[in-house]
Amino acid sequence: MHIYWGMLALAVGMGLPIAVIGAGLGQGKAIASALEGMARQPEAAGTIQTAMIIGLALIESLVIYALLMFFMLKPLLPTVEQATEAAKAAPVATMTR
Amino acid sequence: MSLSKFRFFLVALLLSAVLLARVPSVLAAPEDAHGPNTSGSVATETAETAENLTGHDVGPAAGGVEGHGNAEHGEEKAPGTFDPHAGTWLHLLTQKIFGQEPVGIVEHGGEKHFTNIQYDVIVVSVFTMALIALLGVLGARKMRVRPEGKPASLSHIVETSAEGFRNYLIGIMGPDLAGKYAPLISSFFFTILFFNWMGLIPGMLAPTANPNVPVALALVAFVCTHFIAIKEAGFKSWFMHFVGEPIWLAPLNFPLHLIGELIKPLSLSIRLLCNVFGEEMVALQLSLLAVGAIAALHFPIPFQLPMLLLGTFFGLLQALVFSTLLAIYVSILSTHHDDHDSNNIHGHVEHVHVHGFDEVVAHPSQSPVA
Repeated sequence: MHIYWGMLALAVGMGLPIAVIGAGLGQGKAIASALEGMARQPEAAGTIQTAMIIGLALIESLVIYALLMFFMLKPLLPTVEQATEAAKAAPVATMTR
Repeated sequence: MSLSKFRFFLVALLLSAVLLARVPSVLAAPEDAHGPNTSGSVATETAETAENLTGHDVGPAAGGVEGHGNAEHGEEKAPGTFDPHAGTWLHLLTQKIFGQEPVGIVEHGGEKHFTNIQYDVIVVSVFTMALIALLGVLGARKMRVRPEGKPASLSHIVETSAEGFRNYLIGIMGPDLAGKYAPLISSFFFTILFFNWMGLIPGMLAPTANPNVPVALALVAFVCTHFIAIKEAGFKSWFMHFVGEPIWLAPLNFPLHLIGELIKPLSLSIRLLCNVFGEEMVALQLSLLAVGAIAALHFPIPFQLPMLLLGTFFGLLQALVFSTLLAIYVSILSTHHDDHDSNNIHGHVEHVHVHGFDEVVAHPSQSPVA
């Protein structure tokens, strides 16, 4: 039980930030190339900006899928009372050596 | 300076007065616990406003704050539970249509069960769509020309936005497809835009935050895409999209393309839903953060204001992304498989036309090369 809850808490806490890392790198690359294109040809700036915004929204949607998983896993987390009760009922073995 | 300048403002004021009028029968009902005028301290009022902001999609986090404000009302509630019937400004209309029963709680043989039917979403959706239709009809009437020769301002806004979006679609889909299907895709755009923006009004909810609405929109978009594809390019070309380029790879390509097609409505709906729901969840958490500060200062400070401003931009962005993706899917599926597609979507190399050398000329004297 402890391991399940521990792993669950880890997944709930770490799932979204890992997705955010990937999205941050991807969006950084997208914006960098968009800015380079705008600097190279300023008259196409409007078109490039529109395409960049849409590309950013698509990359962001992948993070939103991870957010959906967060919202689905969050109700499964135990409350503090439940966790302390389980800890009292089955105490974790301590190292005695 | 005539009064007709203010006619829209007066009509809006009258409508608000009608919607906000408290009918005695409604006051007597126990589910009126969460009307905006029944709270005591400023703190619970802000929490209820925050809760009204998000309609029904409030998790158990807000239940603890609400528990204080509801203790004196008729219903028995354990602290920390969520009463789904916060209501919106259209609360009266919802009750008139769907009855006095609190939303989400139905009785079966004396026991109360929690159901998932949320009537407020239906009422707000229909109200928003009626609003869009009204704006469209009013803006598209024959231009009322003032003596100086300027048209009415509503026509300006409506025509500029409709034409602007249509030009944007021409850029994506090409002029002939856009000419036929711009009304459909513009309807999606403006509907989703107004649905997303409804969540920013305190006391209303965003219909797109409820899972049913984006799924419905995505399913309709999916069916429309394939019908348009078959209508424009024919059944054979539509089927060849699934089979793929080398015919002998069909057993591999067919399931792949089929899953790819089925995943599109899923991704469209989840993207829209989670963006709007996450946005209003963040706004709710910010409002809950503000409760302590407001209780201490006795002055309402809108902590959720930056999130609402961001929500304006992101609501527009999500509507734009949905419509752009829909337009791209329509244009990809509707191009004939053998015709040259101007964007070279399928990556064919053998259909490149070099201007000036491949044009059919009626007479050699007309050829561009001298």
